[in-house]
Amino acid sequence: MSSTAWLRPRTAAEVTMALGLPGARILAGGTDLVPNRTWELDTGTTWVGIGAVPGTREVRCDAAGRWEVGAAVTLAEVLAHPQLGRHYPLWMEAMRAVATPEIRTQATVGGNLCVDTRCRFRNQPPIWRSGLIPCFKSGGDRCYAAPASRLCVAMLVSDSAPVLMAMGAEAAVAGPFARWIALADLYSGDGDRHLTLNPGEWVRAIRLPAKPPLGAFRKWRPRATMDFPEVDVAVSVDCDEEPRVVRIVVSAVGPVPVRATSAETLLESGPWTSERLAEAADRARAAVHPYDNGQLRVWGRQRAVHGLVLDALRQVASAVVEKGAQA
Amino acid sequence: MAGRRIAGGPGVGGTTGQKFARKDVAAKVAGLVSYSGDTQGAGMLHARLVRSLYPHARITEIAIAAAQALPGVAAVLTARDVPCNVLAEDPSGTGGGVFTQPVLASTEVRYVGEPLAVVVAASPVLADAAAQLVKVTYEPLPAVFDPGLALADDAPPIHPGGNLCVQWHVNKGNVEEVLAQAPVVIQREYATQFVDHAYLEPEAGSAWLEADGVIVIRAATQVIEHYRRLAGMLNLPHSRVRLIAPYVGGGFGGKEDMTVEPYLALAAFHTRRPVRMVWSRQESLQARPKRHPMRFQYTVAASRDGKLEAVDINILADAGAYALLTPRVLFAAAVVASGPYRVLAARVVARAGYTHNVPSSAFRGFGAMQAAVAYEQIMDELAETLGMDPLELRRKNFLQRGDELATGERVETAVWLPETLNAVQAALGPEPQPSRPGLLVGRGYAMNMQPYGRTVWFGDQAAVWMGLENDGSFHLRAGVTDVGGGQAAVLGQIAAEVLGVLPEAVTVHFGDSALTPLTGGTFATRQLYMSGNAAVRAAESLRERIQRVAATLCGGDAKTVVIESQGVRTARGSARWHEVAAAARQAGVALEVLETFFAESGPGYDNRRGTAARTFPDFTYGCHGCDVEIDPETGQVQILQYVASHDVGRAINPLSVEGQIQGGVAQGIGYALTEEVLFHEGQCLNGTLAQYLIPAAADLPPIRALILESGEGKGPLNARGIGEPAISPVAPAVANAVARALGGARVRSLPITGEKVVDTLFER
Repeated sequence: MSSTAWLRPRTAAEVTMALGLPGARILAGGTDLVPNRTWELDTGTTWVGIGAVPGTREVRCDAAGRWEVGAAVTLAEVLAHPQLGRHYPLWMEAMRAVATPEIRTQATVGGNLCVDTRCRFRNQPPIWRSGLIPCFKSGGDRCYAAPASRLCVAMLVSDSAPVLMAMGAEAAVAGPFARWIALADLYSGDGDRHLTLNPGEWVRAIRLPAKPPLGAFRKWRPRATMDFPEVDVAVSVDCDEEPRVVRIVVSAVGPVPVRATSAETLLESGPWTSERLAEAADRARAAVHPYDNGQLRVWGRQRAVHGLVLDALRQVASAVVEKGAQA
Repeated sequence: MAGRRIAGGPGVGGTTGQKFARKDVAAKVAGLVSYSGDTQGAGMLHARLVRSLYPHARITEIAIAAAQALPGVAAVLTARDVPCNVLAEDPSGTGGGVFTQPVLASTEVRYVGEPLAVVVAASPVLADAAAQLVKVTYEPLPAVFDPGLALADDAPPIHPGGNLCVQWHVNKGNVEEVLAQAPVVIQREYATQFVDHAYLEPEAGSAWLEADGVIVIRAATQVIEHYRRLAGMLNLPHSRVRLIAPYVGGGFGGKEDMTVEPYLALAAFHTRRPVRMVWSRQESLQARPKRHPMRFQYTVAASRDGKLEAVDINILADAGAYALLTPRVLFAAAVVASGPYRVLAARVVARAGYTHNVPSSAFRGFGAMQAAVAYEQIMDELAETLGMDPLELRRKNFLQRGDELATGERVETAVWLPETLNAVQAALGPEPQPSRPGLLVGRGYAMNMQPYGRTVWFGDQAAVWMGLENDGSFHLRAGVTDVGGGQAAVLGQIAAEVLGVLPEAVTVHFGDSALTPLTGGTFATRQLYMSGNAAVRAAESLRERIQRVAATLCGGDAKTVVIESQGVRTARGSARWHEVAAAARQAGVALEVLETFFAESGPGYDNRRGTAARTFPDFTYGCHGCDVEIDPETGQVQILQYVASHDVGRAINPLSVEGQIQGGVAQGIGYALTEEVLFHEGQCLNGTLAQYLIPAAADLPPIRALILESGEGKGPLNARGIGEPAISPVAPAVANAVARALGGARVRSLPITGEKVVDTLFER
């Protein structure tokens, strides 16, 4: 195992410069990167911490009422924040679903969004992988989970990504061309290089809408705690718009969270009868095609999408009714 | 409690039956215990194993030059460096066969992870690097991974004697005849899986060479008596090898066979320097022996009113690549295969086939647990067929004192099956209700009988030494290994009880093959039974000597001497401890004793006829019950509440008994619902704890332990063993609850995953 340098630049520009060094990686909470190094899954030689850069550890509300949370703020800090919980209960639900309390004290908002993708054929001890011809993500030319695929299909396992997408959150990209992007635009669809960031770019903060939509989140995993998701579902509805804005996001089924657009269209107008909710759940299930690279089998995960979406939609529907809106 | 008197002998007064936290518990919680891997020293070397990458291959070359040349590498050891490269054992103890296994494979490997070489280097990182430089040339050979296929005629032979590792028979009555005439006959199949012990403490230890040439190994083991096998391996006299076991961070049978010990001994022997070895979790999951996967075929005949008439049982287990303790595990499964029920006729054939999977061996429950998965599910299925309440069916057939088991032996002690069942039924309360519409709920029960102590033909024995200090404190020396169940502390408590002193007055020195009398290992739920009885004898013998000296010193009758914290007292006077010690020296009475307890012994097993006068010394009985809730969309099973009751004869420290029961249930729930070491052609697919799913605290329901005391165990103070019995009924109790929730549809293979539940629902 080679040695790794750990840099802690003090400005955003220095972070960008440091990321130009060979084998440079952002080290956030390290809850994923460090084990990956142990498993020889990550061979980065320079770790760049961002916590010393002004703003990355801040939580603040702008004049428009939008909350901005620095990428190096920990999940535990988010959960303990006096205001965030009240404004963004859906996000809190996803935060609480991440790993364990111990990990949440270390893991960060930015780290959870950018966390490396996982696959049963790659996230294995070195001796295990040594028996396989390398896959895309291991520098090879094939995919064991999806043999016909020309891209790596490792799963995005971020619990906050689907929720923040459903909420319409944005991410601040730092680098030579600093900008805000919609969260969905952060992910490339290639499990090997799963982020759309260019060399030198990094996520500095996220921004949440001033008026978040109503929503629900479901995480399916083998145990009640600790595990990565086998399927994540986030659903939101904004009834103040006409037609309604509905977002149904299914995640942990591929390298990028999937919007179930056909299901969304169905629910944008018309009443949310139980038949139509079930129809939407059916459409959501048809929209996703998990690969055989999780802990549980493909068809079980796909079938679970139906139940999870339906369950989440019912919760949102009753929340809408409670709020006195029409749905 | 200070100065509590005894006089009346064991079991009178004292701390027996009182809940208290053992001394070692607080130290463990505070992180003060030095475990086997915690030894670090100047100049210590680090050892790493080179393991096979193939399930079956011929080894044409093991090239070690590159590894040897790496600076900092002290040794690269292969089979040719092992003085005697054969570990041999007769695990059944009946002379049924001696099984051998190489310490380091040299010409052929039989499972993925089989050790090939030991690399010893100045640091763990260097040892890793050197291990990667060892180039092994394999010639892959055909492999077989299913015991059924392995026993077919055209299967590749795994060992020269064929692929049948063991075959046990149990016979009672004429099964054919009863089956032919029985009004109700049902036939079912059940299957269990590979699971791992997943103890917190990995396989770890260190070894060094003393100036007098004694090789000392300090390692996480359940059995310090392995020192003899280590000496045999090194061609040394037994007296030149010493094995020390500090507190073990969980054993569960996984540290009953040797793990790091032979490699550490070998490394210290060759390098003459201290060496440390710790296995990684993936080494452990890939290459350590697992619980035997078993397949059961049960045919059960009953009368229309629910009297069991005959059982015809076939058991097939996967022994893996080497025998290890397979013959013993299968024997336990065969003996209890008909469950704690009266049967007129029984026929059990229990076989284990070799495969190119990782070897299977001891795991808490030891075969008897797998059998419970089958016999308790088929009781529910039979009840359904008969249209009877499953508990009523059980009550009709419960074993009773004086009954004959399928093996032909008689049950001599209390069988509190109705009592434990009643306790569990009452504690569970009203039937469960779904927490929201659409969810399914069900309640299930399982009974069990689990042997404690070794089969009687082993002629088991355990020795305990006790001595008195001038200040009135006591030493107790016993070679027990303490795997976390309080195996050491309880001996001090028992001795204190007999002597009439506080448990704190007795210090227990344990787990050293050279300095503590040998008790036999901590397995087979035998330690309380064996060493506990030896401790009673040692304490009685020492008490008798103290009383004799005190009576001379103070006057009065020896029997009336009272032992107190400061000294002794009779009706005529008192003396302080240093005076007692001086008087003993004067009188030539040694205030130190060594006592040995010999277990009930008996002739071997007649495997041809399938009967025995006695198999195990005794059994522990119990009943578990639980409520489950199932989401039919995902199939996920949540256990709402869990109640477990066992007759432990006498609860010496009820807090420890509760701990054993709760731990057993937690481990059993993993077995029932989530745990399975998945192998694909011998290669472990879930080699990390992120993938091998042990239940976490959030997955566990409230677990209530109901301790019943019949006062009829064969252990000290009439206690029965509880280490293994507590895990056995869990999986069938959960399976029966799930089947209830699913309206009779049943998942007949473990673990009961959400996927299998939904499959089963769809099949209906």
